[in-house]
Amino acid sequence: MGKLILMQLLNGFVWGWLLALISIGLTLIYGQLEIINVAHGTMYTIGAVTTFYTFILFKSWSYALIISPLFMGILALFIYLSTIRFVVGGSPITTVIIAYGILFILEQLTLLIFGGVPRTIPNPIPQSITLFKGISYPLYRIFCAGFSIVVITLLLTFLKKTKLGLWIRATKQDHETAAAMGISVPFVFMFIFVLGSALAALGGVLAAPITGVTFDMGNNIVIDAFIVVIMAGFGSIPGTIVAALIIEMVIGLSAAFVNPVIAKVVGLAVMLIALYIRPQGIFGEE
Amino acid sequence: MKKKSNNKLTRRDFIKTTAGAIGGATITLGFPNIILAKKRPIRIGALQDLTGPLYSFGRWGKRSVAGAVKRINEMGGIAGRPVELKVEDSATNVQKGVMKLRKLILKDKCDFIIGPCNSGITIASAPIAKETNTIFFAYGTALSITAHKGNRYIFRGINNVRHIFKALAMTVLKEMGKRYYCMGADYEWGHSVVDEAKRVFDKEGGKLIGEEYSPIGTEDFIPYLNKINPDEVDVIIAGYFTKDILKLATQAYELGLTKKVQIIGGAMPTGLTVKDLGPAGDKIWFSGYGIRRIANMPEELKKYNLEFRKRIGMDEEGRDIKTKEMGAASYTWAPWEHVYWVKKGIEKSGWNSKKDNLKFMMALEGMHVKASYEFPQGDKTMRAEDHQVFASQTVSKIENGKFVVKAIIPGEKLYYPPLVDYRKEKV
Repeated sequence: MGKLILMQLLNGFVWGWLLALISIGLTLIYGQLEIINVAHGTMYTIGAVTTFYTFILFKSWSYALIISPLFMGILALFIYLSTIRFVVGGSPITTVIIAYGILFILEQLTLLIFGGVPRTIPNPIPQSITLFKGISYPLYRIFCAGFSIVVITLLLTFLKKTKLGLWIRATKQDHETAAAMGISVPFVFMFIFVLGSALAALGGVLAAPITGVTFDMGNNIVIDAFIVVIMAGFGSIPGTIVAALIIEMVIGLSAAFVNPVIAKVVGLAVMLIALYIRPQGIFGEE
Repeated sequence: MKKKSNNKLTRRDFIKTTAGAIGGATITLGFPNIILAKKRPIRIGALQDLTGPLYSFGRWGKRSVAGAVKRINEMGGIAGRPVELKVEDSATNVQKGVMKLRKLILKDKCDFIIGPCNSGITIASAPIAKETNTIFFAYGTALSITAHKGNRYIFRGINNVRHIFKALAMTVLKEMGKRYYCMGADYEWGHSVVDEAKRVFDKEGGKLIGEEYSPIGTEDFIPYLNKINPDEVDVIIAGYFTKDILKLATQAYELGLTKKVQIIGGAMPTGLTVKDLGPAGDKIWFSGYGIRRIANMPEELKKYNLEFRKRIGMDEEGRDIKTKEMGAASYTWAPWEHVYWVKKGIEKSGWNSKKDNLKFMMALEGMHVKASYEFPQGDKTMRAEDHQVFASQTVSKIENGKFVVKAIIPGEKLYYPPLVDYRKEKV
């Protein structure tokens, strides 16, 4: 039983970091633009789909680590300029409807181009590490957790140490004051939307060799990402990391004792308890 | 003086006039109706999973029904009447599927329905078929469809999961270890696969080690697979299809489980190539309802299947001729044959409208058909009691990068006693 618990906790830890990476994109967009981006899951899907095509083209998965977020970034720029910028600051209903529209268009385009058949990408690191006698764990998953930690650390450093990072933090605190201080708020909004979308795509790149690629694969992950962001408090990056790790490790631990579907319910119960104690989220402001 | 009336009606005049009036009325009122009845197209509704998890089945099901209808119309229709096709997408969703079924029956006035591969939708459709007096052909393969959850309006022209495990029991099961672990998609079909596996393994003296179900579309199987100790399990029964079986097999391989444990798939890996399945693929046994590669078919079936595949745009390897995307060869023949079951039933019963549905049912009950262009999968019998077809079943494995058929079991050897007798139902 001890081995099983450790294996489930390790799996929860790995998924926790991957989910944190995806959820940070969502929370960044909400924190700045106050848009509930329900299309975030589709952006994750697009990351995975472009990974598939990159693999076909270059016979290597690693190129997708650059190409997919870049492609999604350009697409996000187009989406921002053509629609999002007109609804920033609008009513929540308007922004959600627009985001839903984007979701449907992107998902149907993906279906049209990629098709409905699931595809696979060979595991880039097929080796496993032996944890106990006869029980091993895929090395690629550990790489995914490590890579997510590196990207999140770089992102936090960027936000803290660079001029643009300062602009972003300032804009988050108060749009109007930031604008009065000479910060180009529309540019910050655009940059954040592109960055958040690219992070979702990067999550898709990492997940694709594990889960395979389907046109609707983002539908499940976006729910998990929303749970994390709500528990963390919208807009909080440290909260998002902590919430993702708590939820996934609780789910992992529970899955050792009950069916993993029930374990998900336990994860939701943890979110509800956390929200009962801190309605503004773990790291949310009053 | 009173004039003699010219209007006096003689008996002869009366007979003449009455006969003329009746004849005229028949011509003016009745005859066009007869003509209309003769010419009114027979409407077939195809409810297929065109989007959602069973998309791979649905898009080929649609092509298959459309191909059969086109061929029938080219050859003069059914009993001189053209066939019209209406297609709806169930979205692999029970609620949407049922809504679309009602639309096909009530708005589009379809006479027959060719149902989807989704067992859940089929089961939800059964009472609607009965309520609306509409005959429904099913190719979902959960056992219950032609048992306690079906009714006299439901006919299934494809084998079911009981046939899968009967075929496996007759071939490879004896050579496998007895300790088995069941996993299945958490809906009717997945549970049906697990139930049948337990039934067969128990007869063979097997020992059930564990049983888990997961939702359709589960991304990560490791929380489930972690519970399997390879020193205590010989076989994993996997009641999953398409991407789910792919993920399960790949992740079992990554955990190192497949070094010791074999996997039995509850369905052929529809839509997936050998390459898609990767190194985990050759660890799985499959039992299928049809044969994917023409090269693996018995000689006598090849010409029928070449023609059938040409009409639906499928190549000899089971791929889309244009895109080279893998199709659903193990299932696709069933919707095609369902259209021909409709044709056979109408021709034998003299069916003219839904009022004749009982005659149609009685015509199909117990009908035997031979391998032909109409029935390319091979000989089969529609059992009278439960409307379940008994057709051949294959056992396959991947060897040297190709699907190899290890055994073909004829339908008559897959017999099991009927679980219901629909003939007792009033129509």
